[in-house]
Amino acid sequence: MSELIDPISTLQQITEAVPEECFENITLVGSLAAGVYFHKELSNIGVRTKDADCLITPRVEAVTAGKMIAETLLESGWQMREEGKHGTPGDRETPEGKLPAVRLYPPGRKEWFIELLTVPENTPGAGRSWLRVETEYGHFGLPSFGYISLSSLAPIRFHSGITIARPEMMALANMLEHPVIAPDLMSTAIEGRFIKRSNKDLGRVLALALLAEKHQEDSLLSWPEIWTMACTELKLQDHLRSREYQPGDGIRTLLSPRNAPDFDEAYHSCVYGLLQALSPRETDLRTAGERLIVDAVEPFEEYIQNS
Amino acid sequence: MAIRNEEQTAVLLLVNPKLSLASIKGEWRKTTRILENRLPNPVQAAVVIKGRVSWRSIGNPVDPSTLQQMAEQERPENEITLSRPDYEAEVLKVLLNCWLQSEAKYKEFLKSADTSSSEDEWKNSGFYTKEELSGMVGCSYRTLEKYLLKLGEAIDRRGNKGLRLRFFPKDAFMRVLVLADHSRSTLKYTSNSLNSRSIDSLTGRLKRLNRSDIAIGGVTGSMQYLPQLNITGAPRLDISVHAPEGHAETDFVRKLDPALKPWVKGDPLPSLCVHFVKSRKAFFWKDSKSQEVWADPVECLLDLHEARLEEQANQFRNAVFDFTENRKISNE
Repeated sequence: MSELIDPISTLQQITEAVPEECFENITLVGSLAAGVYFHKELSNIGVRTKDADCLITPRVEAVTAGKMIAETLLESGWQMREEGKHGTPGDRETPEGKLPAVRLYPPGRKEWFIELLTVPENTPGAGRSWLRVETEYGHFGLPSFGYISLSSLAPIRFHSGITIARPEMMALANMLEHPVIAPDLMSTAIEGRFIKRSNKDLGRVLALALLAEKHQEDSLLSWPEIWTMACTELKLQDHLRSREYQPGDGIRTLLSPRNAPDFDEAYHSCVYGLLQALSPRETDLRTAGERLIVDAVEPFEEYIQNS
Repeated sequence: MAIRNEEQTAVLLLVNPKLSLASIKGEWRKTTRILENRLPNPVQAAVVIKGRVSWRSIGNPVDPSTLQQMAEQERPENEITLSRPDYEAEVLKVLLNCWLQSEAKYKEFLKSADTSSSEDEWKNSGFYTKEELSGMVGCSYRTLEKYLLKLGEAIDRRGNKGLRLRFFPKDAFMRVLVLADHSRSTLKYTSNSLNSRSIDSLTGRLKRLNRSDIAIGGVTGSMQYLPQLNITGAPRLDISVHAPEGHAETDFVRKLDPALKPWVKGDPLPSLCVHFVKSRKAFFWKDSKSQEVWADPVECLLDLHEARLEEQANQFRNAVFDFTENRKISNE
């Protein structure tokens, strides 16, 4: 079982290690970003995670910035994560789909690792693709997928370092990514359980909603407006209207009493992940989801239908 | 009203009709005479009131439980059927509100009310004819007279000019108070979340709904009339819903907070109480600045009593309902 990571000191460590000229290109996303934003709500105890996901934008600068960041970190003694399938750098012959991601442990530590990602080229909701980055240490790939571009919009600069993704944007990206609960399982177990990827990501949406309500009462009411602006920025309205599913269908499915086992998986991933410090009851997580539907999802869906 | 097929028989199903059973039976007799032999299949009728079959036409082959199920399917989600109005309470509440509206002090309370659309309602001296009063209550002339008589000398009758209350009828109000929970069909809700929403949050959400038929009462509403009410904060939100048709939907509760669940004995104190105003006219008013809709002082007073805030209820009643002028009249 991984240890609790202090998000603030982790962000500090990344900020100190990354070349300053890349600050504008890098946004911390995922549970560590949420941990930084909600550090007070999480009682400064930390979050349970292994990866510090960093999104490199814009895509046209991702190769240059990715190369600079990877080389700088490796020169400073950061170590490649060798566990898993692609534990060594590739070369010119390695197909893009087989390239290892930039996953690096800080010098002398194995509690967490940095992972570099980028945004997809154009198509919203596209599957996973890889962007080749050639470094002095070999070839790596920057993965991009789904609606992750949303996480890069209007990020928050924490102190003077790199930016962190907005919780509402990460929630929207995850929600749109999973309009249904797909059977695909996570590659690694969470506290002994292999759970569905959809349940983990949709559970994250509920966790973000719960933390947002705890951070500031009624804050979910502001989410639809921000989501709407994001959709305008990325020109997503037509795409979302043409989808077979409504944006919040995945969340509704998760909350449906018929899907109690899926909800249980989502709850498990939260209490052994982002929400470990809070140990919420299952009812609290469910309530957060129901409030999210009423305050944010329904007005947003109405906007999408009428825009 | 619905028509369903049941083994080649068309059934006219009336759910919670406003007409009396006797009237329905009479209408049905006339209808069957007209329709006789003109339809290929027999037509039957049934009346379901509050979920139970109250009447079936002779020869109706559909069993009561099926009819009850059909009636249930007809009901919109979250719609509830309210108990019949307690006209004694409704008559008194209307009289009290009419009386208050004629008072200069009350007009002072309502400085910010949006009354432009109903100017005539605010100009009179508090005297109303029985026709006007029965229209406001939504009862027959006879029913009104029955309860006016019960109010005895509290009623100030001025011939053609109409009538009004002479003073605050404490005994009659106590009777209303005792039965208020039932007569107002009060629904109580409690939050199942550790992170309960504040009263401010709930009232803000109510405002966003922009419903003129839902008004804020209780402590929050009372403080609109009496800011110096001796209480530090509202322990819960009381709202009044205008439901003159005898039924109401409660879907708005989910919009206020989906964590609110019906309160049962043993739960923590309710955080939301919904009361239903069953008279034809509701005396709610909208604040032109804040756009909030407020319950009338009578509903607010009942709310304070219902919340067992007796000290505050007495303070409120003395301040809002006991006018110098009326004391003078009652002492004559």
